Amino acid sequence: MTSDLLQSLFTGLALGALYSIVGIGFVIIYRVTGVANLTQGALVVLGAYVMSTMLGFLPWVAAIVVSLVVTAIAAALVGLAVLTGRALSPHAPLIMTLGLAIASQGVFILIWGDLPVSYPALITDAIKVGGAFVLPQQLILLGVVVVLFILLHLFFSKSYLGKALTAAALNPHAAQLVGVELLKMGTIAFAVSGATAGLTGAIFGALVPVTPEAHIAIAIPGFAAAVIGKMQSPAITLVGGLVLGQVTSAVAVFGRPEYQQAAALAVLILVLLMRAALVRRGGELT
Amino acid sequence: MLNVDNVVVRYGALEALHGVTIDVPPGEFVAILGRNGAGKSSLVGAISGMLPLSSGSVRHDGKRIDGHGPTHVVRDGIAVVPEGRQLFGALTVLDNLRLGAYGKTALGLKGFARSMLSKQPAVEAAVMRVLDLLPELEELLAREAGTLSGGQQQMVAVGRALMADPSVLLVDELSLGLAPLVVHRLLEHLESLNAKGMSIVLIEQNITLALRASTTAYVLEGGVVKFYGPSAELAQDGKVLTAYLGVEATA
Repeated sequence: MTSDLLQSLFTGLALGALYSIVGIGFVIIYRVTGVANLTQGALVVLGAYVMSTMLGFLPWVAAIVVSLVVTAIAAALVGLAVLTGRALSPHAPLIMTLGLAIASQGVFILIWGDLPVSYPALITDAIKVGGAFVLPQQLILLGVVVVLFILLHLFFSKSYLGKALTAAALNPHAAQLVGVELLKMGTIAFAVSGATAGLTGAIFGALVPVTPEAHIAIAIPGFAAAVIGKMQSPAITLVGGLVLGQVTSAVAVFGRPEYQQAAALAVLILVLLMRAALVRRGGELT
Repeated sequence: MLNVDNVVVRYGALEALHGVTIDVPPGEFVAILGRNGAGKSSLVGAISGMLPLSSGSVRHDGKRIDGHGPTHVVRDGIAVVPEGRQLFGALTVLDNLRLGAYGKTALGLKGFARSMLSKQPAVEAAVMRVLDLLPELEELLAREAGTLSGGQQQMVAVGRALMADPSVLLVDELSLGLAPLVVHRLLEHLESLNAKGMSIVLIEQNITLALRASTTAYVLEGGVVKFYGPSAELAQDGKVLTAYLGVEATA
């Protein structure tokens, strides 16, 4: 029982790290453009697939860099298409990203086939802790997510470009008047978000075999984490993602794995209901 | 020299400006007056590049600047202090100022690469220049812009526009919601910028104030220029003042 609990905890940490960073990817794009990018899960899967191919030629770190660059470019192209499409209708971006996410499955099957693809982790030996197994790759994932979170924070709060992105999010009208171009900023936000997704995918793909439809199972809890973070706060999204990781992992270990998505959505609904109740009672909107 | 020539602006089927022509010679202080809905905001949008023109042109030193968006306009030396200040409220005053130079500094691939860093030498130099012009900003630099008083915010908005080192400063509703003493101080700053050779275009609801500060005035009504001429002349033209602005002659 204790070992089950520990196992659930460790698996939940890795899952939570994944959900957090996917959620932060949603937030980065939403803050700057107001678009909920439903291809966020597909970008993670793309990162993993590119990693699986690149590992045939390149060492681990170089393969990760390639995965990250490919997903950044793919995301920038999605951003460019979606933000240009917004001229047609304000609802176009949501439908376009949904369409692209579904279409990505077909592209993945064309390139990598429909069988699960797996590749070895950087360190393969599992560590035994109190009757439970921790994979070093899970710890690497967690570490990378923490480092990414700090780097993103520094990028947005310190760099001139990061401030311009923040300005575009805070006041698009004034941002344009000082020469901040919204289409450019939106595309950059997509690219940054794509790079984080690719990096995460490249590491996560060594833990779980990659399948074309995996993007849904990644995007739903990631989106839930972002909504918990009000689509605005990377810090609350990080916490939300970690909690969702624990919940879905516990559901898989002690209940049934097929209820993981439902559990993520249940947590989301619970948080939203609690928030609504707070607002109704005149409490602060948190 | 800024020339707005026969500019028409439409919002769908609605025409907001029906061929407006305005000239701002170098170093001039021009006031644009008019009631709500006269077309003042559309004119600001047309000059700043935020609104597309249906016809006509906007030229700066003979070069067309319309049709390329607001970044092009600010790079060309025309900066806007928008109505309602429109600061980046969650950022510090210093960062608001820094962003005022974004269009001019984050140019090309090199500028883009440099924008990954926090310190931009050209931007910091521009901040020093603006602090020289508006010394009141010095003690506010670390404050979050959204927490400032209206007058302080307006000062920051002027400072942010000056960061682009403009030759024309377009000020949309300087006095709106501000105490007379504060407005007086802001106006002094605009007058001293003007004395240094900067052209000022002041779009104002406060007629007395605008006519006192400016040398030339334009009166807009229903998207058309109904009067233009020396401000001192308009200040005494009771007919124009009552017909289009709803005020009595000031002298």
